[in-house]
Amino acid sequence: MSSHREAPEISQDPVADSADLYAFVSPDVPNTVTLIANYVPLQSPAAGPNFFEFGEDVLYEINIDNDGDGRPNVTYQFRFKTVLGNNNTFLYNTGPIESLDSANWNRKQFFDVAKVVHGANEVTVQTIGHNLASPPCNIGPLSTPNYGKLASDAVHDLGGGRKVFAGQRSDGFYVDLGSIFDLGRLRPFDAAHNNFGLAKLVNSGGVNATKDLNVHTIALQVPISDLTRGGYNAKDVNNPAAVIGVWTAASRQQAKLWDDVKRQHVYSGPWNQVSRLGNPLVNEVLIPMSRKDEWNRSQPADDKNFAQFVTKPELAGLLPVLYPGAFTNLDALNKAGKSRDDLAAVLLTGLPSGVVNGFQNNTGQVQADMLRLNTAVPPAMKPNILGVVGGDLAGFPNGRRVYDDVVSVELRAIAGVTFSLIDKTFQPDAVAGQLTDGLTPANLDIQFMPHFPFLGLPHDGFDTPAK
Amino acid sequence: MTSLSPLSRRRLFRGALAVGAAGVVGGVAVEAFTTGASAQTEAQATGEPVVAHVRDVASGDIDIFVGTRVVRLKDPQLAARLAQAAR
Repeated sequence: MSSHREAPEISQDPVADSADLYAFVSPDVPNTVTLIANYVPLQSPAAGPNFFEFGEDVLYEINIDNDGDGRPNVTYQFRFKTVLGNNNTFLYNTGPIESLDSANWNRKQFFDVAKVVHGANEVTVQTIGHNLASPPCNIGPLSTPNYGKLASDAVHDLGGGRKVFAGQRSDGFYVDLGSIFDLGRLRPFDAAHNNFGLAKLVNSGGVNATKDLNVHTIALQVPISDLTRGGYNAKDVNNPAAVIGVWTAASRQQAKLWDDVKRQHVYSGPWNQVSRLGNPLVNEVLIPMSRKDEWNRSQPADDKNFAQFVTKPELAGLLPVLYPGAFTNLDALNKAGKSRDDLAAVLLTGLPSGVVNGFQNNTGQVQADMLRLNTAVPPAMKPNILGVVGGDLAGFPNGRRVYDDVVSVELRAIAGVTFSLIDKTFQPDAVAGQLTDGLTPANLDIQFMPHFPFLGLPHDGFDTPAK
Repeated sequence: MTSLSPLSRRRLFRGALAVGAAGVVGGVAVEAFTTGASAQTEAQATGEPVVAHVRDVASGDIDIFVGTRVVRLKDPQLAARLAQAAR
């Protein structure tokens, strides 16, 4: 949930709230890319009688830019509809749900997938999946006794090596929300916190705030050539055509009103974007609260309007204050007023050749918050959760895999680790390269899967509250 | 009505797509704006609601929402009649 409830307006609209975005060359089918967009964050598994679901009134999208202008060349759209099977029960299910067409399952969701190709002179739309079943939520051992089968049956083959899944999964984003938003605390470094004159803090391990929570996932696996410029699918890392930029967005129709005769909402008008997400934590941590809603409604192509919050991040100024004496070099860098062009490269344009040996994911001059993936980099044989910072070129910020430790990577980058890549005279503070909220994938109760859709099965509602 | 304001190409195509994603698509290209009159006819035929938002009575700026489109009008007389009807 690197973007969950990150802005005032979207925090009131969970079904349209993009929480995490992942894009990576698939380790299970390496000539494909897996795209995952999570919505409806912070789900308690025990959610009866009305379990979580996608919004029928929301247009969900995953966008791909393959020519560096911050505008989509390919868009996948997802629309959901809900079907009630039994009008005479208050129950989500009236017996065990043992298949996706079970008569015991009262409230089912189905979805359509459309592929939109934005050509130079025309836009074409193709429905590539119609009336596909989402799985039920994971309720408990009596209601969903073989949840793994339900979930795997809901992975749909779209033909040509393409797959799609849309439904509940466990949240794989591990983060110590409780400490970070308690005035920038990091439990492993608590003893160094200035503690605002209150009781002295002591170091401890991180606490994963999402450990018992679920999300709703839209996952798509498609051939690399479906996404890249000119269908590029070779292995030259330096070829600009190998790089794609990815973001997800959710939109609502402009007019909504309550029809007090029909006693239902009616919707009308064009789709207006209410949520978007490219790189993790950008709107959550970099954009000031007064402009977060505006950011959600804007397009990546216009992100130059927000670049000042990347090149002079508030958090970089706070770290030397919150941890006195630990960030003297960062403090000097801040006071020198130097633009953080390292962060702009990582988040807004991609890294050009020559910064990291054997790697680039640069998309040109247009500043746009997109998750940039160089599809010519093969999946790692021995992945490092710190990605490129940890010497693993197949990880964040070269796209993002489900297990990447994006919190630690971005903390370290903001603390100055990546500035030394563009200014060899800058020496990062010793602690900068160690920053972490103290969590790894080991802090998840449900582990990731080695194959599509990669995120673990959801926590069930019966067992999870008992923990 | 005296003028229609242009919307972005992005909005136009998304309006077309929303219909498509619901099942009517297949190689649909961008659609041009229809006039207010044709929008009304379309809404009557499909039973869709037509929602009007009088943005400014004095200037006559009115947005009319139908389906996945908006028709933007500048019609002081219509705005005045709607405002009168709302009293």
